[in-house]
Amino acid sequence: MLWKFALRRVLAALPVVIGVTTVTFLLMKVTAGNYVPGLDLNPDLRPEDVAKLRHELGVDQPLYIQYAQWMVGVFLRGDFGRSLRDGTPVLEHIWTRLPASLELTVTAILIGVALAIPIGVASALRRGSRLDNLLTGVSVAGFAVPQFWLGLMMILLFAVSFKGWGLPWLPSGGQQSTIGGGDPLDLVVHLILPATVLSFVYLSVWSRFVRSSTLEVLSQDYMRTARAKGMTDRRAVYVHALRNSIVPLVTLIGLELPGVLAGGLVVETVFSWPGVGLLTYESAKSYDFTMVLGTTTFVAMAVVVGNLLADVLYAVLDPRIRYS
Amino acid sequence: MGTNARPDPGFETFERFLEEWSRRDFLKTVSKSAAFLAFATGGIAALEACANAGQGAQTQSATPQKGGTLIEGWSTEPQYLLPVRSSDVYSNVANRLLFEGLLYLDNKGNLQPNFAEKSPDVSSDGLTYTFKLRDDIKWSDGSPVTPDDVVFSYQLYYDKKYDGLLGNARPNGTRYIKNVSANGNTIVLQAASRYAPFLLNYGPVPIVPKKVLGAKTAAELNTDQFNSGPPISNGKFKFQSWAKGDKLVLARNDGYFRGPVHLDSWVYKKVPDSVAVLQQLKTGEIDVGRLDPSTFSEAKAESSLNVLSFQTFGFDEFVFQLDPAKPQGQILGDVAVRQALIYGLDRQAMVNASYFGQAAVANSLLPPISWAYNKNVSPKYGYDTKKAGDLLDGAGWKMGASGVREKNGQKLTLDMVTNADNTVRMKNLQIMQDQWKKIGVDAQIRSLANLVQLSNLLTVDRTFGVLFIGYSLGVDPDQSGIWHSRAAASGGNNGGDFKDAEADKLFDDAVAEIDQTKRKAMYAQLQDLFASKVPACILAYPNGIYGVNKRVHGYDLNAFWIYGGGFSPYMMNTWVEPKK
Repeated sequence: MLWKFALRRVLAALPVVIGVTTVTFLLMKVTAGNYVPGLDLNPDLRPEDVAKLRHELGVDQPLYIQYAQWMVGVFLRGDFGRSLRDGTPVLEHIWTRLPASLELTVTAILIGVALAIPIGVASALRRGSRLDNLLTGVSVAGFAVPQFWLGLMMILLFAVSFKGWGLPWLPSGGQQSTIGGGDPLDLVVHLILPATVLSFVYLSVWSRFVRSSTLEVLSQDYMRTARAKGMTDRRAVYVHALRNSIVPLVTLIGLELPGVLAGGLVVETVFSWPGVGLLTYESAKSYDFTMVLGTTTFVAMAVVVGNLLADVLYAVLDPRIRYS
Repeated sequence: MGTNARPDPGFETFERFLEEWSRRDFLKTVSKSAAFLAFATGGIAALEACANAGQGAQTQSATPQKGGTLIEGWSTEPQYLLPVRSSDVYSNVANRLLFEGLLYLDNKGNLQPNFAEKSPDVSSDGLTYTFKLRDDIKWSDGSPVTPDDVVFSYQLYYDKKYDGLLGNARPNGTRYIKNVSANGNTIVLQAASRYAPFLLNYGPVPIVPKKVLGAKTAAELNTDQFNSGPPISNGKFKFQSWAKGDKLVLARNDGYFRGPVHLDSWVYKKVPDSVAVLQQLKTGEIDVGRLDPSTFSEAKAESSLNVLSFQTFGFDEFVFQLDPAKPQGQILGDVAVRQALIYGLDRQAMVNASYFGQAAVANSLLPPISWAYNKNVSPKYGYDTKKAGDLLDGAGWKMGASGVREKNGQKLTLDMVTNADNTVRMKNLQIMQDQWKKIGVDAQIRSLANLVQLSNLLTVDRTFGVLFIGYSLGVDPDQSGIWHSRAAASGGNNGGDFKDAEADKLFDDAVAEIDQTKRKAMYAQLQDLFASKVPACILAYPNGIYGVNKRVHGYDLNAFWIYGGGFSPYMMNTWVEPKK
């Protein structure tokens, strides 16, 4: 049953992927045109030189041919093309950047989950209390504060100012020390700031969901029954309420999975974290058309897989859900 | 010349955002949770000020120390380490530390022998250049750099065999190099025509190893592994590792022919933007980084940093539309109108406001650091609104009732364009709009999203009145790529349609004149011509600004080394004190 369901979802997702690539392709062409970094606006080259070089790169062809060639490459040969900036295969870039993104986002998600559940449950159990208000305040702030701003402020405080005050300071960016880095402690130290900033958003959103779903579960008949049977509140919450209240969280985490691959683009950029998000940002900034197209398509595919995984996990966690 | 590769500062936008953000009311309402944020906005600066006050000057010892690593932070990564493929300053910074050529450019902009025993013999017709290759140049694996390597390296630039090798170097290489051959250790370069910048452009061509690359085709070289990790080199450093998006590490080449450099390694670290460059300079995570003019004073105040600010080969300018087929061209085709517009600008005020004083008002097409600069260029344009008004009156543009000048019922309205993601340019347009209003000119700002669209507008579309753009240029004074009527063809940079037979002839003659004195006279004439016809207003020469940690010594960066392509002495005397 499950595999049939999965297959149907994959087939249904194909138009989504094709749609995303088409829109990205057109958007990029509309904004960036057929600009080639380093080639256009170069007073060293004469107009006829530029025309020749454009021809060699194939960007002088009609749009639909460029698009068709690209689609054929991606979907029939798994070839995402080459970066316009440095001529290396796009996929190679994505694969080398992926581990860094995974490291950052998986850490952030783990921190987010580990904190969101207790915060959400505590808020729900002490609903309306001062604690609840405080936690609500924190999560509103976490949701409202832009990541880049929070990231820059943390850098300013924990890196620049701490260093200035002679306190132990955290590195302002990168995955490891530029010289002699790479040992576990070094990696953890570099992970602290970006993972904190990224997890703050997850934590804010997820703790709200956990809170409301816990409230809902607490008012269910079976909770009353459990207490009526003489179960302690604590046991009732841990045994019955918790498992049911985190089901919606699974969907949310599933939806974050593509984010795992794309990396928190903003956080990666602010912290110079060498992941897929930074790659996308840098490529867009330097008008590397094929690279942006490649990463976007890659992420679009990841969205589909992420949603699928969430659906499957749902069934495992919630026995009431059945696939037909 | 290179492309316009100046990084666009996003910092002002961010600061403006901060200002607006901190004013918002809801901060107060969510005060509990926002308490720490308020601390972050206001508190840090105050605390920082206290902390900085306690820091003294670093002690400096003058004796070079061996060892250590220098980390340069750049916001744009290199692209290609195979020199023939690269044309951007970021790649050149890195690959010129790996590969050197027969000649190098010294810090005065003069060519000096490098791998060549002495400066070349030049034939009387200026077409043949004869070099003697030194016999003590070695690859980093210990094998000698041979005349074959030299010939091969040049073939990449001009030989038909390598047609299809991508990159910006080939079109001019095939145009200007006729042949390169070796006989023993004698290397003969033959130019296809008399071309004054021949030696400047092709004397320092970096020599690459034939034994590694010789068997490869053009198509293979386009994507060869060499581009991101050359196995051997002949410069001060050799390639060690490159984690793209993070850092490129070069290690000292002990077999370098001038003797090993002081540094153990040199690291090119990718930093997100100019904001991060300053932050990481402050924390010491990077030792050297290029700064935005907007951060100049903040960097100056930092006790751990030296700040270098020097003139570069480049300018910011606005081009006038001269094409009579376009409505804006009909207005701006009149030279009196163009001159009036320049008299009507207080350019020193613009430099102070937009470049934070880190630029010089331009009088001429060429910057004062160029050997061909004409210091007596005339006319010069001071700030003179009266003269501007007189010129416009004389051209028939009389002040109308609405405060905007009119001629035959048509209002003096200009369409000014630049790319919105460049805050310096946007600021300049705002000041121009304001100042021109005072002389009765209604200039409307049109902003395009990015450089791509501006590039398309300048080179292809060409529907603008006044277009603001900037160029980083090379050491050679030839600018025919921007102003020659040839470049007015679609795809060229002469988007204002400046077509002047006299200027074309001067450009062509000057570039074919080998005698520098005669050549200088022609450029002097060209600068006068340009100043009187003003097809564009060269607004300012922006400075290059670098922050350098005080633990770094002998880092004498200047315009010739970083932008001129003459990287040879660069890093030779650089050494670092150990990190504390």
